[in-house]
Amino acid sequence: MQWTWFHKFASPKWFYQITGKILPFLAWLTFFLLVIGLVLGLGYAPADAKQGNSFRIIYIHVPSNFLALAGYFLMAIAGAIGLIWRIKLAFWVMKCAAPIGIVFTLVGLLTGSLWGKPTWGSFWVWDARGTSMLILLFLYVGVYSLGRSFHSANSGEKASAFLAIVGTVNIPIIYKSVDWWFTLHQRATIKFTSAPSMHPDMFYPLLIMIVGFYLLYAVVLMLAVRAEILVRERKTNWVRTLVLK
Amino acid sequence: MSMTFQFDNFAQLIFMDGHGVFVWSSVLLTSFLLLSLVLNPILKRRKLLKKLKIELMGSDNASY
Amino acid sequence: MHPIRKQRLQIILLVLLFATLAAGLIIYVLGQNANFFYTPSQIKNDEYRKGSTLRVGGMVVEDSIKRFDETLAVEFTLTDGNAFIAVVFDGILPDLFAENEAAIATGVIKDSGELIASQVLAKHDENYTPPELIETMDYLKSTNYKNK
Repeated sequence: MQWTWFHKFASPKWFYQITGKILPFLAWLTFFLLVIGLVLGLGYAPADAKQGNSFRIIYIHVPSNFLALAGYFLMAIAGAIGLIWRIKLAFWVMKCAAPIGIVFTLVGLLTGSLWGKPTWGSFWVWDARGTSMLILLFLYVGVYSLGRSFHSANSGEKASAFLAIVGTVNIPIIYKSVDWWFTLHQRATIKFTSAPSMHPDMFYPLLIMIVGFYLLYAVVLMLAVRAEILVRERKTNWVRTLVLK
Repeated sequence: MSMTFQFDNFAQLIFMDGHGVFVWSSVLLTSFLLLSLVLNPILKRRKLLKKLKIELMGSDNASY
Repeated sequence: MHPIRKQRLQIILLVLLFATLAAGLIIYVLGQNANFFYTPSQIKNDEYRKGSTLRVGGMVVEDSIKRFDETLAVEFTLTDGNAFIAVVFDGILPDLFAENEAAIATGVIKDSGELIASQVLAKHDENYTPPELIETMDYLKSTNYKNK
């Protein structure tokens, strides 16, 4: 197998240049998708027969939690690539994914709380879904702070990569928690195996929001990694020429 | 798909039959948190580029 | 793949395997204890800790909601299809609380078998439907459209 493409992608300079070209286009696409999705979800989708308008929080709650989970996988895989191939860029991606994951998980938990009050009648309950999401937040915080608590950046990166990898066992637990146990949280509306249990007029805005959130995640991660690359590579010639240009 | 706007006026859109408090505070909170994720690295990068430029220009002028 | 990298990959997979085993064991031991609520059947079969605060979840039985004048107190019955439990609650019910909808009551079970609840939560399902569609479905049901 040829690994040259792999090592090319692992070059910080190449990553910096290619993301610089992609980002403007990607940022605008993300912006339009999120605006369209939010306008459709908040204004045009029909209210739910039982929950009324409070159900509109789904248009933020579900996409942000999707990315909280997907982002964790990305962070752990980046950590594993860093550990196996000793690629510094992979560690930087992992390092940057941690605070982003914290924010997306926090958004998921807070919007869940604001949705829980008018529907369940409580801002917070200790059911399996909520609790396993809270554990995800702690894992993200653990990976974030472990990476910054060592004198040598490299030991910190290795330690947080290990924690990130071990923590992935929580992801299927979060996903299946509503099936394994009796929870207050409802089961998944969107499943890989069957059609969504949702009216199409409600589902399409949600789909737009999910795609929008995936792109937003990509944009935010690229921005963070680019800034990290500049910090770490500031002594190199290519950054010097970039600065003086 | 034939979707119509669900609210008669702006006040209704904000009030949302009493659920507006929850829906709109979700939207505002999320916007604030996610916008900070976008702006933070942009400002960080801009500041760093400026700082590096000053450093490099300084060492060029010194010419040792 | 380079032998050293292969070895590192194997170590990572091994760590992941053990982490999964550990998590699996915890889930296995937790088992029923991680449930958010008991069903009325479990209460009927005495599968709960007596005297302590617990949650019971089920469907609110049709026509079972009784309100008392002068107070906020309300009485209703929860069922899981097999067993029933009476709940007495003195407080504000969530908006989504209704007959034939799921609810979860937190409280202590008296010797009489009644649950004296301190909190009642409404549980909704994963289906989302516009109001007009519900009306249409009710109409079709009332005209025996679905009875073949």
